[in-house]
Amino acid sequence: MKTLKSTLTLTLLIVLTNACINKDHFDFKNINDTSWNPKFAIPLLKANVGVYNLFGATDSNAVSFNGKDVSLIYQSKAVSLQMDDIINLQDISTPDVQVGYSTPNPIRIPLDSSLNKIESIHLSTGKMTINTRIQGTADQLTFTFLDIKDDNNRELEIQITEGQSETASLLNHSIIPDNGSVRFSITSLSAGTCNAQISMTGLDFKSVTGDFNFGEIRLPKDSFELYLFQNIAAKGNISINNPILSIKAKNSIGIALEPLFDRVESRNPASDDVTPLIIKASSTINDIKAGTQTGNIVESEIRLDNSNSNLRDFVSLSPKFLTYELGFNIKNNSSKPSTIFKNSSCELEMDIELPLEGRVSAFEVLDTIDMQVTSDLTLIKEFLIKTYTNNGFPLDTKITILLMDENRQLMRKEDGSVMILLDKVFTAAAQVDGDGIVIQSTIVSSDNPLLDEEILASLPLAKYGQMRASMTTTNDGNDVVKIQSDYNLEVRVGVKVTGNINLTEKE
Amino acid sequence: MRKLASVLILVLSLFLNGTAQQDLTLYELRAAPQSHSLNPSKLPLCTGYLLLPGISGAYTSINSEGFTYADAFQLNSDKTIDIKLNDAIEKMKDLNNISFDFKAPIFGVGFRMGAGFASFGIETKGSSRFTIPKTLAEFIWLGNADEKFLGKRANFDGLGIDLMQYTAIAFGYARDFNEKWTFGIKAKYLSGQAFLRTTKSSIGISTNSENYAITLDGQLQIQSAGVAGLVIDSLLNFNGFNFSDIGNQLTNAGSGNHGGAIDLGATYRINEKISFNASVIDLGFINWAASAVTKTSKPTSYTYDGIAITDIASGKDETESIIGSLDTLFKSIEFDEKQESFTTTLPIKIYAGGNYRILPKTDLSIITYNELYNGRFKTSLRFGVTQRVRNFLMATLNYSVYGNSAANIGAGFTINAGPVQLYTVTDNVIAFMLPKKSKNFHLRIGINLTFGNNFSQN
Repeated sequence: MKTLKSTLTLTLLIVLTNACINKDHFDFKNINDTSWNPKFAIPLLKANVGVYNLFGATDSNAVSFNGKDVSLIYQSKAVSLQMDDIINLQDISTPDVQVGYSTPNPIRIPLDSSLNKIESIHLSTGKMTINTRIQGTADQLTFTFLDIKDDNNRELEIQITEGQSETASLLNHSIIPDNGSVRFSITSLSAGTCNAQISMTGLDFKSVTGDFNFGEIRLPKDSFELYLFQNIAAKGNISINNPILSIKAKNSIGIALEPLFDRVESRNPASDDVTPLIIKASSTINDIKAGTQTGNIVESEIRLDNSNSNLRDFVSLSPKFLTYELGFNIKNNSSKPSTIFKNSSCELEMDIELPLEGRVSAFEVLDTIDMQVTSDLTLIKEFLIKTYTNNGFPLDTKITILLMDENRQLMRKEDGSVMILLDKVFTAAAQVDGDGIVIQSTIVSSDNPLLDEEILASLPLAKYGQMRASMTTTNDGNDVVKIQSDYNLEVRVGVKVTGNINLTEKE
Repeated sequence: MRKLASVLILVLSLFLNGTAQQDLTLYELRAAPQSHSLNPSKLPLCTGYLLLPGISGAYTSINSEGFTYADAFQLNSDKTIDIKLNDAIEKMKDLNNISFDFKAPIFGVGFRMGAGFASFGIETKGSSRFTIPKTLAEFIWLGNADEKFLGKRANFDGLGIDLMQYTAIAFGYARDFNEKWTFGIKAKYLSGQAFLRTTKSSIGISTNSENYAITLDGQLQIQSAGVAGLVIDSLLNFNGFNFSDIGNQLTNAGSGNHGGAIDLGATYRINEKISFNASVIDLGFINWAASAVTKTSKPTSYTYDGIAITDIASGKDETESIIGSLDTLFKSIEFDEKQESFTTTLPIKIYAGGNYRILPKTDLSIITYNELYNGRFKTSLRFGVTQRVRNFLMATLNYSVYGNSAANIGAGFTINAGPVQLYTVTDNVIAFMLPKKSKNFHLRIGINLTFGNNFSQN
């Protein structure tokens, strides 16, 4: 019994002794500083960029797909050449002179020399006023205008008492000039003289027939912007293989027009380089076809391309502002006179079509992206940006992202250099075949650690990022490549951060 | 911060490593009427007892599998302490259970009837178990960009919960049939209040190493009933509670889940000194019918790969951040719902052991405890010694091996002052003295009323 009790007591003692709490193990004041450094990988951004997205077209008609081939089409505003702006009948007035009546030869009123080759003018309005002064007796006079006839082909006659004035309407009358002048004769019961002054005022036409010579006709100066990307740095070079400039005309004017491109030029606003449009001397450019003799519209198109102009150089760099003051020379019909109606016009629309086939060399695109880093970055030990691209375009791309503040100004370090978040991340071009068509996209995945502590600390202050993408076609921009409608660029950006969270702080 | 982190880890480590309730120590403490519930054939050492709500105590058991306090906090020779959570997580098993059990008598009475002993009791029981994959702890601690997870699927299969709450009304009777045999039986009516179990859990997170896109995939099946069913239904259907009718809803959900169980026990006395005993406890089931639902989600895979740049450029107000995408994910998960009753069994406990009365008031004992529940089988072994002092004190001390632990010292005692009996029992006294190295926590404590104590009974 005693032995058993002793054994039990001893056992209990051993247990209790070993069970003594080591209080040091619970002295929380002695816990060493411990940090928690988890690594988190988080996807940030993604983009699937097709042809339509890449070229930033805002007008659905601006990107044209012909099968898989893609063209960018830039349209100017439609302009219109109105005939009533060209032909303007001036008032005609003779001086107050003594004229004889009942004489055998008609008296001539010369018309404007611009009407020398006009065969007839069908008037829509106008009036003839004759003022006379008596010389001798007040005879009854009849003024007969041999070259002014009504719709029934009757000559215009105006009866007037000498010393009086008389006015007649010229509505629906036609002037048929005789050698550039209008003849009239004065008859009376007896011969004599009087003073007469004749004026034709308010003349306007319904139609004019003849050969026309207006000299050079110019449309008002205009311009439109030609761009490949909405946001550009105007650096680098883009060469489109086969651009086309097309002028589509709807002409109801009864004469053909020869277009003049001597005042068409492109200007790069950043560099101020100007390239005039030059038509090759050996080439023949079609005229704008004349409208019908009844004033109906005839459509025609003029196309300029590399074969007849310097169009490739003209659109070589983008953006460009195209300024143009189109001109025309009249091309009269050699076989018969032309008729121009009052409401005749020639409507013109100029397009520039850029088939996306060519070369790109270090062409830079700029864009601004929002950035809001609100996390407490003191909790971050390491920061790495992961980029992944699956490039289906035949363009090598280098992307740089610079930090900008809330005023969209580039942020700078203490040494004055710009703060670069991502420096020239490279995406290789897709592989192309001999025709410049992509056969295989290229995948590039890269890790870009952010080691600069100054930049890391400044990240929460950055509100925007300026993204600069520099693009070059394969073989250092020497290969001609095609952009097709099914090309796609997949971009994904993620970050990997290593936390620096202090679990304990020594008191 | 330091203390909070440390206390959290301390509590967590206490949770870590263990099994469900076993009552290895209480089994030998026959002076406490509660031991009768572990083997109906082990008659209480009194002529009658009364258990009252509140004072007759409660049973609490917290167990888990994983790391200990000492694994997480390492004491250096210079008395500084290093937090080594990395090492601690390494010691976790692939699937770690954290279980919490609770039992409290509402009322109990027993009395001797000649050679037999009748008993009646009402008790509420609750058990909960959380299964946490080791990879989840690693994932949180290391992050998804660690080489362990980047480019791979972090497998959280098995993440789940299992909880049950019910009330048992028991009628028991035990009797000495002859000098050698004593049999006991207890029949119980069970009323279930809440049930929730993850019957299928297949969840994983993958982080693409090329572009860091995060993919969450998985499938979940949940069985719920009773009050838990009501809560789950509201959460997953985004219905919310109809608070105007909340009382009726809860009442209806907590009733209508009926079941039954029996406890069987037998004791065989070879002679005055040697006896064998065995019991099967909670051989029964509950049929869950009120708010019973089985929800099975369709296999889901959702990938978040960043904000679309075109959304930013177009000024879209609601670009989908990672938080927004989680909201989209949760709303996109579809559950097939089957509203029909189902039946669950209770954890079956089997005790088997032997007793040797080495001295008139001293017993040596050995028992095995085995538990079968939800397809999982657990076993443990205990060696003990019990000392009786007259009719007012009984103390027991034992050593047991269970779960991942081979260092469990159990102790318990009852002490009577007249009919008022104080009892305290724990299966692991080391948990109180060496919490840093303990793997389970277990405690029973309370006050009973016992009449006609006779600790000399065999």
